[in-house]
Amino acid sequence: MATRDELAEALHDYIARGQADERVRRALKNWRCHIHIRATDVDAAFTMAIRDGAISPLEDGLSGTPDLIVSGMSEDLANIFWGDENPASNYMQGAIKVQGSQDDVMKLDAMALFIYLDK
Amino acid sequence: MGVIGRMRGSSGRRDASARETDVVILGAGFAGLMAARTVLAAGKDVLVVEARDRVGGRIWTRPAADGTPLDVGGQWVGPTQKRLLTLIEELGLSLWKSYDSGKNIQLLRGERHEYTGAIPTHDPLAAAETMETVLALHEMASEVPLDAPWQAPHASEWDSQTFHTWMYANVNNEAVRDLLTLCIQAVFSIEPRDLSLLHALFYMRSGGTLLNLISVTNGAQESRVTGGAQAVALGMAASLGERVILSAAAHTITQDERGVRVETSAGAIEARLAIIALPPPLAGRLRYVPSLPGYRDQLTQRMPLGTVIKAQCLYDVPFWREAGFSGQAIADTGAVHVAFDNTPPEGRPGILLGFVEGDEGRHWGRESAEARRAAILASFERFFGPLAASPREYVEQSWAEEEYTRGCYASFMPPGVWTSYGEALRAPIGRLHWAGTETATVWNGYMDGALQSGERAAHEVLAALGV
Repeated sequence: MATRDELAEALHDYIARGQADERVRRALKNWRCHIHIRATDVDAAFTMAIRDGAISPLEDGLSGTPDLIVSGMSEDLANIFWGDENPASNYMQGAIKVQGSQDDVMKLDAMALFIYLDK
Repeated sequence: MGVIGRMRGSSGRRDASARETDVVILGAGFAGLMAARTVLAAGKDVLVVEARDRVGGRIWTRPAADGTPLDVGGQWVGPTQKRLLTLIEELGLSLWKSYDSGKNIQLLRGERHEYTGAIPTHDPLAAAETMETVLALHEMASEVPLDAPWQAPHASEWDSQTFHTWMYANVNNEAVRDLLTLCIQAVFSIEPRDLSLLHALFYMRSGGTLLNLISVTNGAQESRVTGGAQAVALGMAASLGERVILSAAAHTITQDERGVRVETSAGAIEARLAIIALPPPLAGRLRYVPSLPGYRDQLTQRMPLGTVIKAQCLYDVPFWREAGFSGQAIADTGAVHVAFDNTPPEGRPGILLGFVEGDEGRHWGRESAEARRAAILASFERFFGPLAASPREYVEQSWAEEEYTRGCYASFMPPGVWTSYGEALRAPIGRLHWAGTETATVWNGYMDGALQSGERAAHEVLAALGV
């Protein structure tokens, strides 16, 4: 189990890597998405916004109407955000639940995979 | 042509034996039937002539030996196909969800992998490049105007190359090219070398995105019509009654200042206007008097249909589900490159569906029925094990062999056609108007697009009639 602070730290690191990732900026240049991230086993929830391929700083708590909702056990979420787990693995696809339009889900998958591979 | 005259009536009628109507429609597929409903609802008379002894065109439901309805043609309904969804509701029909749980199977380059979701992910590098390529295609497709693809900013560049050419110039990873090739085969029933890049992009945008086109849940393969998709055509035809004339193969269309005359194997019809709701290659086989302008005729010369054999194997139960498989499989070898679970909602019989498309369809369509069946069963056995080799029933439908279709799923544009002939696609020729899914801007190639085209052509003739 990851703590709320550990999860926040992993997310901050993830966003920093995403902001520096050329492939994310290129492939998702027109993507706008409001994402809620919620751990199911600890009291931890965050909001992440993407505007034209650029990831905004992490916001503590859930705000606004989400286009995507990402939920899972804190440990699984932290593993993804630290880049310890391949986000495309069958295990992670079962462990992390993503709700939203098919297009947004694929773009989030792509972003996660680019950040994982380019780290 | 100005004010539309009337051929009917004692002063203008030329043939007392001919039936008369305001609008004659050729083809009782989804486009023709929707056009007829729309014309009739506006208070004008209509007759629909259909060469076959059934309605539905490329949508055909036949009973299996135990009575299970089998869609041997188009079958799926997607969540953004609003016209089709509305019509299904209006007709009092219902939908059920395609089975989409468990592991999908991939057999590519001699390796077997299992995965979930629309994009195989066992190779993260390939998965990332696949997603990057799909996103790039979505971005390019967003530039294509659906009502005039030839006006896209890069239309000339994109219509001067095949999808194959673009793919080999822009995609480095062989595994990604394999997947894109399968996508083209599955969506168009042709090979990437057959297809204009511009048409591929138009088609993706017409159906939303490439991901929409290839997905089950939230995609074009999400739902089925209870009782079979032909129930939609039968429902539309029921409201038209004797206005639908079956077994009436049209062969000659004559138009002059007084009206239009359609000669069929079951007699002639005289009308003020005609809607031709046939696939372009079939429309091109009719005799027109006077002959069509060269520009329109040359368009129909350049819009071939895809090649697909749809095979379904029935088993007592969907045994693959117990092993954790979705029934969805893709392969780069064997007769079947794409497979689905087609089991009805009651859970029995288990039905595996395999498409033999593009080059495989061209090859196996010329083989004996026995050899074809053996090859298709061999594909299913490779995917799902030895139980798949012994179905209790085997049903196949080769759409290229159908005299009144000559291919599926739809006509496509090879390079150069959109930019050279695109303006001819929907432009009326005198009293002749054009419908059919190939003329749709939204969900082109699908049932929903056929309905849109029928509505559009009906509104054209109603406007010409002053309604």
